[in-house]
Amino acid sequence: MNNIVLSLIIFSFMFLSADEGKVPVLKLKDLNNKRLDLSSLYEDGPVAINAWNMSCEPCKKEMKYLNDFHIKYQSQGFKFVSVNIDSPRSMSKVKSYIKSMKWDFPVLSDPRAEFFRKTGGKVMPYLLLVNKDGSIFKRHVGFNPGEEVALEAEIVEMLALNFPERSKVIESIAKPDETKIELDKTE
Amino acid sequence: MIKYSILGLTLISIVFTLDVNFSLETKYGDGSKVTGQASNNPLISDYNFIENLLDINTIFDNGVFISTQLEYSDPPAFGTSVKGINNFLVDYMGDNYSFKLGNLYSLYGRGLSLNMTQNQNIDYDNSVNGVEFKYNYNDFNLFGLWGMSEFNYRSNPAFIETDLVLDNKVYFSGLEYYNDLFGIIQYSILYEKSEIGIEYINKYFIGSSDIGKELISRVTSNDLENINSDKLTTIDHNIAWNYQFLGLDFYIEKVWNTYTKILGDTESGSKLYLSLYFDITDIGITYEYKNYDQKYYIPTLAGAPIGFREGNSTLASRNNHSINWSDEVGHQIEFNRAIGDLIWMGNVSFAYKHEQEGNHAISFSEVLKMDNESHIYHQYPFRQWYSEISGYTLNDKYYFKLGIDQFDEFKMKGASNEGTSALTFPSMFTFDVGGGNSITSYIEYQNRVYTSRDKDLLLERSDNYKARYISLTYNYINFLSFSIFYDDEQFEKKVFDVVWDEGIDIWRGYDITAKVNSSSQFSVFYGSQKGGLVCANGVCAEQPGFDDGIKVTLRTIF
Repeated sequence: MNNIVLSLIIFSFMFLSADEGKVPVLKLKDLNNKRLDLSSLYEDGPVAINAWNMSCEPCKKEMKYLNDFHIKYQSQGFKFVSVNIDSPRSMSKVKSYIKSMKWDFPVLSDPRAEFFRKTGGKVMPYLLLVNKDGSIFKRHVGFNPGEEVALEAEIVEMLALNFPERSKVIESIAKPDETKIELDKTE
Repeated sequence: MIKYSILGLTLISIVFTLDVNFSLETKYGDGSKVTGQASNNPLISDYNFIENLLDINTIFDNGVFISTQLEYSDPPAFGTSVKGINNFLVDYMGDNYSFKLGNLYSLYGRGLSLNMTQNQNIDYDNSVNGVEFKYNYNDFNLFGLWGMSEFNYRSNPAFIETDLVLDNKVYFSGLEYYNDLFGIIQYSILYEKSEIGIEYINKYFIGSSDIGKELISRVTSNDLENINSDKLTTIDHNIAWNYQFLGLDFYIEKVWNTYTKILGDTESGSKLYLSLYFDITDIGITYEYKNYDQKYYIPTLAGAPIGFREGNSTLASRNNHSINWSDEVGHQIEFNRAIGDLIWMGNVSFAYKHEQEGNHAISFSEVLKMDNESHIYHQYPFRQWYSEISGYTLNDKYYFKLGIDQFDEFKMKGASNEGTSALTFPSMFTFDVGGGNSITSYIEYQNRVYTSRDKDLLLERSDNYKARYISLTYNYINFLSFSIFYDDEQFEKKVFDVVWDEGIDIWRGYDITAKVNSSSQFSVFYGSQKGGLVCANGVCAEQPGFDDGIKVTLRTIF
């Protein structure tokens, strides 16, 4: 009986809570030991921040697409930042893997998994889309190929929300073919 | 009273702030479990659990962070029942200082002296209740920590509940200096005072652990009669240096320490870990060396690098080497190279105990060969090599991973030389079928041989296992996932050449997972599961062994 009551309370909280929360104050080091304040990452524009470790295969699948989005929308103020949470058990191998993948996004090291824990992470892949004021736009848990389409749409939506004046340019980057057809019709 | 104060504080913080997130994990299971195995007659017992973990994180605008973890588990999937507050933390981060009060999960260097973590899956928590501060002045970081805890641990990792307890007090402080030319240099000192009760000393005394055997060699049961407890003291001096230059990354950490053995004298020990990363012609190379030498020490607060590769496939992860934190030397080298859009990874690691007086000392070539006829069992050698290729192909529609893993480990148990050798072929394929739908399969095969040679009874036993694991998941429009699992193990057990037991164990399971929203998953599993690392529905998680029942899991952040 107690379990049912507890479950009902928790479920009601789930649906009452509309606010996604905020990114906590946190300082992390990058792979070159330079300390960064997490807030400095989103002060110029919205970001996607994930938490991953070397044994998480779905995370690696997701990061390939996040790297693509990082390159595609960089000019519009978006960036993807990766937070590696490998503990000392395996953290020495991260640099080698990252360099081999030739990814363009910055990677931070968080062996205490503070970012993961403080934002409520339980399982990976774990991704936050963060507005430029530090509020969380969306959280994602888990990743299956195919989900990158919906993820890109959310990034576009977040960018348009943060930079309404650039929404048409962002749309044209997201769907270059459709925008071109519409422009042709206008002409 | 303290618990109610914490709960009150948490509720007040929820009411007065909007920046609060809840993270809930609920697991319910109703089935059975194999608890032991007699020939053709496994011992099966009921296995029911209900586990609720609710993390409440509150973020204030002034930089204060409050975290509370509530648990109602009666019983949990693994461990002892908990009903109440599991941990609590107040954290403040200023411009050049930070302060923490509550359950501390701290890490300094690579954890050779201090690495406090929580792992719910294996019911492990070595945090302390206390205070921690850090102060930054230009290139200097000053840090300190004080805390106490009741550290509950297991004499055998397979035990469902902890059976040993140490009362701990820890004082830790240090200084870190950063310089563009010399890198990061850190010095720290740890003073730990522990107390162990006679009931737990007795468990070591009657057990078969290395600490227990050493205790029996110098203490008799009569000596224990007038003792209530024993006090143990550890002092660590830790120096770490990290240096990066022209793409080379070098890290070294050394600990010199003194510690007391249970009912024994003060001993001197040391721990050394180093890692080196560099790349040659686009091949990333990472080398690691470990030398942990503090025999018969009970590790509580430390969590040093393991120096070998942990299997991230279901079958390979069942053969993980169990590291000896107090007595082990090891090497590991890993290679990474991009080949077009694919990435190749190769890894070789090996480890062994320090040499013992009067015994043959293991050589480099002997541990690399792992010849089961050689006289190296007393140093518990372990060797593993692994190679995999993975990546996206066919216009990013297809992702695959193909691997090969060879694991060998020798042990000496009493008069027996025991060896385990396993060859595993893990694979994973994912196909994006379009429209947000995808198919993922994990297909693995393993051939494992366990041998035991009793020198006194001149008995030779060998058990051969052939295991197959298949999981197939269909992910439907980012909303529903259906998975089927098939796991079997065919075995043949022989004494000399005579087969005395053979058969096949099969585990079948079905899972349906719904994504309620982007951060909430609800899944129902029906069937049996051998346990270990299970990857399905876009996440990987450790699962306990489970037979013929139903499991419900809810994970959500809101």
